[in-house]
Amino acid sequence: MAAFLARRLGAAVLVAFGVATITFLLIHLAPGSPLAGSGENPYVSAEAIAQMRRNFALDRPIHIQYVRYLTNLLRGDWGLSFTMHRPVLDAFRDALPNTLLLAAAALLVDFLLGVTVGTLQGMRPGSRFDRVCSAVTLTLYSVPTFWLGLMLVLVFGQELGWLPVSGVVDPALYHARDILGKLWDRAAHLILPALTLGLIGAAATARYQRAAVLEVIRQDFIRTARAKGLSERAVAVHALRNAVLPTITLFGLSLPVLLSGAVLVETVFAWPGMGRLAFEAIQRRDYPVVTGAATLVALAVVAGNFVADVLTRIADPRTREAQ
Amino acid sequence: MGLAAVGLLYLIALLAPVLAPYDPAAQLDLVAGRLLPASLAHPLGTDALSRDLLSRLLFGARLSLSIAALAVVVAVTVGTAVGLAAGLAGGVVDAALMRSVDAALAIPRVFLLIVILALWEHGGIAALVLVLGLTGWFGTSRLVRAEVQSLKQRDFVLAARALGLPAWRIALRHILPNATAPIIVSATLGVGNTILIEAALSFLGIGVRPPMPSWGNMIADGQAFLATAPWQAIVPGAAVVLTVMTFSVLGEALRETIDPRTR
Amino acid sequence: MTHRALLLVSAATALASACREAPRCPGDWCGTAVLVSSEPGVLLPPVTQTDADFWITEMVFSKLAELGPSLSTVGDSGFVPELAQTWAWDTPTTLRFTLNPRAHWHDGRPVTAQDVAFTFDVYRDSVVNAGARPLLEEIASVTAADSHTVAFQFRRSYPEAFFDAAFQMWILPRHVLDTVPRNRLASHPLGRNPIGSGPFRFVRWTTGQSIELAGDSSYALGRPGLRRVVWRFIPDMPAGVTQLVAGEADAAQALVTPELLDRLRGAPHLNLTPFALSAYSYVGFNLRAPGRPGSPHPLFGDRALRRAVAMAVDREAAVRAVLGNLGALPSGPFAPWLWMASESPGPLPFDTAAAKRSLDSLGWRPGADGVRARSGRRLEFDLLVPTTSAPRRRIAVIVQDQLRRVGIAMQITELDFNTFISRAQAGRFDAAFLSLVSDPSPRSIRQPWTRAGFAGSNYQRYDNPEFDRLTDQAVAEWNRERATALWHQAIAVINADVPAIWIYVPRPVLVAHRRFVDTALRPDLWTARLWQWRVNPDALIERDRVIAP
Repeated sequence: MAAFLARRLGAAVLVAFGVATITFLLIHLAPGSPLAGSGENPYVSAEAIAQMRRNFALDRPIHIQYVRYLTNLLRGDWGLSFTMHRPVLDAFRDALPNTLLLAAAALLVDFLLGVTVGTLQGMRPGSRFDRVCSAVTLTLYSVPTFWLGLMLVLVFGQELGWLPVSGVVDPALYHARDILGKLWDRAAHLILPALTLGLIGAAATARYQRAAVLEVIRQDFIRTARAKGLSERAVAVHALRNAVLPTITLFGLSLPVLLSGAVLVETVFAWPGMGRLAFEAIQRRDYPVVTGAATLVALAVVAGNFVADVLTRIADPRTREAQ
Repeated sequence: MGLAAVGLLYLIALLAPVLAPYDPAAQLDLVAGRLLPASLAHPLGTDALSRDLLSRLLFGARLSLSIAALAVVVAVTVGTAVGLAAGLAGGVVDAALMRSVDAALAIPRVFLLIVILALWEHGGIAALVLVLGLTGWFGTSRLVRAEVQSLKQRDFVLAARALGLPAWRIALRHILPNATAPIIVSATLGVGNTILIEAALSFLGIGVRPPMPSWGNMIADGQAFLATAPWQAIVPGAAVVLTVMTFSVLGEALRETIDPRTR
Repeated sequence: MTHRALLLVSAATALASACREAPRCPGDWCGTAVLVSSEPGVLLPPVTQTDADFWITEMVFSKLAELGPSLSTVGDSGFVPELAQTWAWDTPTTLRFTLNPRAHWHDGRPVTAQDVAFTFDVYRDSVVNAGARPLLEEIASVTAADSHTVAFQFRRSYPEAFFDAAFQMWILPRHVLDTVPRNRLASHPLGRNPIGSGPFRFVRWTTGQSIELAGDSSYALGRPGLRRVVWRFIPDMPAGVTQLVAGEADAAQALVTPELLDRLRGAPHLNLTPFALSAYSYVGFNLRAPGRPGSPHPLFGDRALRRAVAMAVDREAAVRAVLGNLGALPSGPFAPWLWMASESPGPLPFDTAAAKRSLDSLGWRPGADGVRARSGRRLEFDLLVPTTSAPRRRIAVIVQDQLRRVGIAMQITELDFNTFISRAQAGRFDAAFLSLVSDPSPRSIRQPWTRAGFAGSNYQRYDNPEFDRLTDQAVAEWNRERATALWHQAIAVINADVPAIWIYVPRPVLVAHRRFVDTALRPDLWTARLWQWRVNPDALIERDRVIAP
């Protein structure tokens, strides 16, 4: 196990390093330079622009910038944001919890709903319930994330007026509320973005889970269990335990998809997370924020895969022996 | 049925110039013709610049479908080539290629696309297709490699090898035809997926650029009028859903026909 | 009266009294305004850049004097005191300010003459790279005579000297910043946790969401009307309008489309006041070959062709379609509220017949596809448009259609803002849909349109010695009427040359909830007088009673 862990960890670090390098090159070799805001000022001068490049060390050759960036990265210095004039890590520290909250809530929706529906479907393939759910999951699976978000905003935010459609809390009242009021404020703001992100994932999970349960249910031990007269409930528990394994693997793989979706959901709901931070940074050519975000995201995804690997090994003794 | 539906979609896209009642970029009447609801003259109404929404939807179909199809062709070609190479070569080459694929899969694709498309001056539709294709082959290459590895041990390949045929000939004549089925299934599903991604990029303003209509930027245009003219965003979104669904149905139908295990 | 009616009446009375006694102002001072804007980058005066930076900085920091209601920048009569209580000219080039003894920093320390001298030093430091640095060139030195008297020494006497001294700098707290190395100043934590001397003190900044400010009850010019201001960050204007209409936000400077304006109008609780901004947007023609400033542009090097293109564009129709009456048509490169703007000569009129005639006579003949050509060269060019500006994107599409009708093929290239600006700065474009924000002085016309701006914002490389001469004279003229006449002559010259088509001056609306009274506004910076706003004590809502820590 220790050797396995070490090997995976080494690979993870390597991947993160690769991603940092690729992003650094992509952004530094791209046309356009980080001059946000100065462009439409009538008093802009070539001298001021040159000074700005000097201030951010952009006048050095690219390989020197690259080596400097990497050594600083290793020392825990992720650089200064060009547009926010603050350390990149500080900006991440503000944005990351919001994205983690959103992702956790979405994953909860995703797996609770997906595994439940998928298992129920798989237990009774061909039933009306199964067919209806299949149609629904197929439809949801084909919906663009941002469009689902817009539709939820339209229905629950604008037409019904039930839920807030932007931000994390109500800034004018949040700090004056008691603890319960604060919790509710947060929850109300979380519902729509988490649903947007979670529902589409749930559709995929349900389809996956249904197939997995079908596979298991055809196997001998379930037939035996049924033949022995075990209740359907006991059979379901049996089937679930064996079918949930591939779904755990799916968890690791679904992380990049989830983060891709987060960029769009955060844009639609003005959710101040990593996705929005990164997207805005790209548009403003805020180099250190973009490279930092890419590195962080890669680390997160690699970590997700790592966790999934470990979980699979613990859950399934066969892989333990095979490795 | 899925095949017929996809055929119909492409027929519509192909015939867009004939079917569309108006030029999709023409601003018909900037004074009185903006954001009109559906009517006989404009079955889906008009947008904020008085352009006919149905015509834009049809031309959008043309653009979205061809971008997706071409991108998938690029992706499948590259993916197959890499998968074959890795599977056949084995050893260090295999390890290097597959670890690179792992690294690439670790970056969320939308994020990677945003970085590339937002930063580099846009080179038009061709660049978009290329970028979508070149970021979409990772999965296919894994699939093909797995297929190759199982086929490699089969008798007919071993026999061909014993006859001393060169590796590329074995790959093209004996392995590839037998690996076609899963490639086709993944390509079909890939088209739907690519349409979704193209829509997302255009929604963010970095995919297809105006005045060319793509479903994604039609939704983005409609977002501003969500409160006053919601159909502006609903209609193109529904078109995306229907199209992607069609490809999913086709993909699953193909899988079931080709791969009896899932039946 | 039936039993049921009686019940109804009593219920109504109970409800009414409940409403009356519900919100009460704690103490004699309350009111919260939720304002919407995009998120600022940094709140440290010399390095502020975006609109949001300026709006919020203006509320937290203060200047020596502010621009008064006349908006006149010549001499000192148009200014009202802020940190400075009085001022006097000792010689024509020496200006002495006496600071208000009540002026203090939000941490309690007094504002001193040393703070003013330190501020000038920071703004002039090339490492800090302050946006206003070039505007302070004529000031030779700033010295503190004693703790409340500071003297500005100018290199020469000129009409807008006072404007430069008083208006370009927000005064900085020396006691916080004087030990900070200048190359680290921009990233000093003060930029996210500012200590100023303005009417509002900073409370908190929640990244990506909001900034909270509290009225400073001991502000030197008097207690602000509002006790609390919350800036709420929104991704785009439609989202802001949704919040204003829903009552989640109270006020904004809203740059909106006609559709959004209709939504705002539909909300009975909002007051709308349109005004003109100090920015103008224009389609600038590159007079030099893209990437080769040594030779003229193959199309737009020709003055007659530029004039023909300009006459083919119906600015009125384009601006009305996209902005309704939320866009004014500029008569030159300036905002219509500038003191020299009234009765200025306008640009060439819209006249397709004249445009076609002119194109014919220049040898540009319509081809088979409707696009004109001359000796094998098609009359086509590329217009750069930044993706960040929705009005520009939409107007560009309309202009494209208008030009097509006279046989000119205009391609639209949409670029993200940074790429757009770097292309403009490098001169790699045919035409670009640019926009300039100017200060309240017509002087800012010179940078983008004379030789002085060749290394700066004169991206078109427009160069007419006559125009340069007239603007030099106008800037040096002390007499308002004579200066206005000189400006008008200069405008006539540039409008005849058509280095650009002046498309629109945005007219945002000041949106404010009806419960606010005295909603004063200065068009160049809408938050400058926000400290005078008050809330009607009879119309308080829940958030008005919340008090900042």
